Amino acid sequence: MTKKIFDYIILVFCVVLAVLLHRSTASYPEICQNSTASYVRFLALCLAILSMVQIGINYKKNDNSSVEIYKDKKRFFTLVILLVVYALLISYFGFMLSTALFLPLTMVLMGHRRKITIILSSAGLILFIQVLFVSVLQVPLPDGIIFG
Amino acid sequence: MNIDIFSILMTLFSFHNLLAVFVGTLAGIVIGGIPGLTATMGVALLIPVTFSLSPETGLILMGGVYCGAMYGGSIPAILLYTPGTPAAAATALDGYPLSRQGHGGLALKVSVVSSFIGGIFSAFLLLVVAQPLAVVSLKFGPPEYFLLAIMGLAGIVSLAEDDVIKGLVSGIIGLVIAVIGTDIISGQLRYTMGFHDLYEGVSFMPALIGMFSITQMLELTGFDKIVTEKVDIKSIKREKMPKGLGKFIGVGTAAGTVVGILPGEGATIAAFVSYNFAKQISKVKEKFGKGNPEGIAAAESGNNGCVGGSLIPLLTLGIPGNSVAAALLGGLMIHGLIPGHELFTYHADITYTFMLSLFLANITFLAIGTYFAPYFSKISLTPNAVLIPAVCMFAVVGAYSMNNSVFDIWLMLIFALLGLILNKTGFSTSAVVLGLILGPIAENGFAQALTISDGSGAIFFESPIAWILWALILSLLAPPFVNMYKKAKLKKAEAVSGS
Repeated sequence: MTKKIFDYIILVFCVVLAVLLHRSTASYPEICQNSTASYVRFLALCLAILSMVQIGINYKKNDNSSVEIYKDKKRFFTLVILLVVYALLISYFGFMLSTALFLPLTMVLMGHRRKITIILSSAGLILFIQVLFVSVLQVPLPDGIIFG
Repeated sequence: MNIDIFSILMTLFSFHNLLAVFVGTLAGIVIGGIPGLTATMGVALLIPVTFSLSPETGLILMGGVYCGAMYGGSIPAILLYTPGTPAAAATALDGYPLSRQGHGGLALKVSVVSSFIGGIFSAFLLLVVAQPLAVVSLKFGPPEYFLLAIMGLAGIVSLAEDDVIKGLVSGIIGLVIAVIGTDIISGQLRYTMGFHDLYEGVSFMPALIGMFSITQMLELTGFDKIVTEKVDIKSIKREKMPKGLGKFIGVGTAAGTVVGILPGEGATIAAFVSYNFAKQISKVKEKFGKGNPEGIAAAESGNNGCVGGSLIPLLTLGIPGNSVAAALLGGLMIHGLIPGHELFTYHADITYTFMLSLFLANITFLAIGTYFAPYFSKISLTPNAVLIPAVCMFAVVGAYSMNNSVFDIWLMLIFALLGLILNKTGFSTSAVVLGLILGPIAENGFAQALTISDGSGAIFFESPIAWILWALILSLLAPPFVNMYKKAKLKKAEAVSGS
C-alpha cells in the first residue's frame, strides 16, 4: 500500500472521529456544556480542520512511495503473536511462568542458536526480576487467574 | 532564621549520608536505565524503605534516586532507542542515531556532562532563590495552565518539521485519548467502552512504553544487531566532548529549571521544550533527529535541570512540580515534614542537608557516568534475538506495575501497533505521548477557565502572563510554518522553471 493511501485512511478516520466527538458532547450534562464539553468540541474542531488541511496537502503532493511496515515479515509477525500469547499467558499463569516460556522461545524464534546463552540469559533475567523487583523493590507482578 | 552551616555539612558528610547519596544515585541510574521503571516509581517504592531511616537520610536517598534516574534514563535511550524514563524520550531522538553511527560513547559523554551541568545549576537555584522564583508559579491560574499545555504541544511542531500538520494532528490525537475517563466537572464516565480500567483514564506509561519500546522491538526484528559493526571501546574512550555545546546546555538548563518550577510540568516536557529551543537556535537544524549532539545536550540538561526546579514549589509551597516531586512529597509527609515556612526555619537543618546532597548526587553520577560510559556502549552489541525478549519483558513489567493492571499490558500492545503505523506514515508518536501527558492539564485549565468566565474565551487573553505565554506559543509555531511556506514556494518556482 502506498504512503498516500495510508495517510488518507488515517486522516479520514481522524475526521470521522472528530465528527463523532463533536456530536457526543450533546449528551454531556448541562453543567459541562461551558467547560469540558467545550474542550472536547475545541479538540474535535482542531482535529477536523487540521486533518482536512493535511488531506488537501496530500492531494497536491505527488508522492507514490510505499510504506514498509516490516523488514522481516516472518520475524515481525512471530513477535506480534508471541507478545499477544505472552499477555494472554500472564493473565492465566502469572508473570514468572509465562516469562520462563516467553524468553527462551522468543530468543529461539528470533534466530538465536547458542543454547547456553539462551538458558543463561533467560535464567539471569528471571532471577534479576525476582531479586530486584519482587524481593528488594517489592513490585507486585501478575499472579494470573490460576495461581492468583 | 539561624542556619548552622557547619552542623549541616557535618551531617551531610557523615558516613551513612554519603552512603545514602551513593546508593541512591546508583539505584537511580539502574532504575532510570531500565525501560519501564521511572524515577517516580523508584522514589515511590523507596518511601517505605525510608521509614526506618532518619528524615535527612531518607530524603537524601530519594533525592539521589531522582537525580540518578534522570541521568540513567538516557543510557538505554541512546543505546537502544528505548527511553529508560519518559524524560529521556527527547534524548533518544538524537542519541540513538549517534549511537548507530558508532558514536555511542560520545553520546553518553555529552549526556552525562549536560545532565551534570543541568542538575548542578538547578540545585544551585533551589538553594539560593527558591522562594522568589516559586512566587511566579503561584500567579498561574487555569487559563495560564491551559496555555502552558498548549505551549508544550507547540514544541511538537518543531519535532515534526517535515510534517508540521501531521505533528499537530498527532498531538491532538494524544489530547483526545487523554479525554477518556471520568469527566472532571460532572464525574460522569466518557468513552470508557465499559472497561473499568479506563475509569481513571488512559495511563500514559503503557502508551509510552508501547510506542517507544515495543514499536522499536518490532522494528528490530528486521536486524540481527542494533550496531552491525564492532564497537572499539578504545576509540570510544578517545572521543572528545564536542566543542560549542555550551549554548545548548545553557538553554536546556534554563528551560528545564523554569519548566520544572511550573507545577504539573514534568521532566519529559522540560526535555522536549529544551530540545525544541535548541533546534530553533541551532545552525544545523537539519541534523536534529539524525544524531546531533546539540539535541542530546539540550534534552539532558533540560530534564536534569527540572530536578531542582521541581523541588522549589514543592519545598516552599507544597506544590509538586511533577510526579516525582509528588512522590517526594509523600516521603516528606511520612517524616512529619510539612512543606512551607517551617521547612526553612524549624527543619532548616534537614532541608538544607537535603538540598546540598543534590550536588553530591550530581557529582556521583558524573563520576559513574564518565568512568563507565564507554562500557555501556557494549549493550549495543547484544544480539537482537536476546535483546528483543529482554526489553519486551521489562516493558511488560513497566506497563503492569504502574497500576498493577494486566489491562495496561494490552493497552501497551495496542499503542505499539498504533505507534508503528503512525511512525511509518510520518505522524509523530512523541507528539501523541506528549498530548496524552498534557491532556489532563490542558482540560483542567480550559474547563476551569471557561467556568470562571461563564463561557467567555476572553479569559485566555486577560493576564500579562497569558500574553507572555501566547507570545511564546507563536514564537514556537511561526518558524516551522514559515519554513513550510518557503519550501512550498521554492518547489513551485522549481516546477515553473522546469516546465
